[in-house]
Amino acid sequence: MPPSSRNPFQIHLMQPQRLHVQIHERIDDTGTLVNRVVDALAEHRQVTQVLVDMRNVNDWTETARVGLGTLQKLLARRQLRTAWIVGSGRTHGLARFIVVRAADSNAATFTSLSSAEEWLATHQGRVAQLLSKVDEPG
Amino acid sequence: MNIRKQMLNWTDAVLQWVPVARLRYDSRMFLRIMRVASWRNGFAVMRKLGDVRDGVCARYGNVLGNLVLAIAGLLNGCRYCGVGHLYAANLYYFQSTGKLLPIDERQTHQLQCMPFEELNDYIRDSLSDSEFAEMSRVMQRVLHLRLGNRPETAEDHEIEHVIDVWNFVNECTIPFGYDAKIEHLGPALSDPVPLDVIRRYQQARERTRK
Repeated sequence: MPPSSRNPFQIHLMQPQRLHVQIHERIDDTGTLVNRVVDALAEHRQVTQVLVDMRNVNDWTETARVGLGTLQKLLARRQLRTAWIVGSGRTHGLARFIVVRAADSNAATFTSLSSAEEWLATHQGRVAQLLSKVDEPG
Repeated sequence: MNIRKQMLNWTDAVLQWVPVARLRYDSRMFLRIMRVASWRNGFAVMRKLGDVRDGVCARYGNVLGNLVLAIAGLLNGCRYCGVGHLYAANLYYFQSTGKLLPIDERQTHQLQCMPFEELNDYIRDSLSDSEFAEMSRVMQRVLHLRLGNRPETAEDHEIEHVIDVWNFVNECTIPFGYDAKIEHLGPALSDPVPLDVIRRYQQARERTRK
């Protein structure tokens, strides 16, 4: 039985400094998610990066969108470098809306795990990186 | 002296605005670009945006050029770009052939909800007719490159640059483009299309939606 059928969220330590948050299928109650992330961060104080994997998300409520925004603002306050991985244009829009609204240049959206990991390993801000690529043809 | 300098600055700002105004995009987008890129870099970014749009349309023509921009925008979650350029591609195609493209701009939400692999299959299947072979090839290439595949050819590098520029553009459009009402969005036309063509396109498209 896939984990998503029991629990829409999975949180675990991926590397000593990286928290991995996996979200599955439909997002509704983000209160539980936010609380669990806060608990995990309290338990693992060495964490500096958070990877939110939304590749399996296919639906969400308006409340969930607000809740995910709250989560991003919380991560921004703690100055954690955050990468959101998405699996469709719609989830990309959601993740992007969240990071832009949170005004956190330490958070960005990606369409693959490798590009997210590449970015997490650097210190460049999202907007600075996007702007630098505008000037770099091919 | 200061007044003269100030006047020159204002004149410079107005002159810089001229090539930007021809892009005919939503003014909210320009304001966001200026805010995000800073007033100093904003004009340069917008000129780059215009150059990239002109370049992709010069290379592939108005139909496929706009399809490239549409897919780049909708993969980023922006309905404003997705609908605007898909609608433009449809109008240019209808204007030159009198026929409809297999992908309707009103499908933007449906396309955005598809997982990337499914979207790739959908594009391939929808454009399977030999007439659309080039469209299918280029759109699938955009999708592959957007998903992180490395560019292999000079064409790939050009497409990747379009993707990079649109990636920044969508950073600016997402606050109003993420949830925009699809039926309220118009075409992002670089070259004007006569009103009667638009009307005939809408009538023809409406018949397929029923």
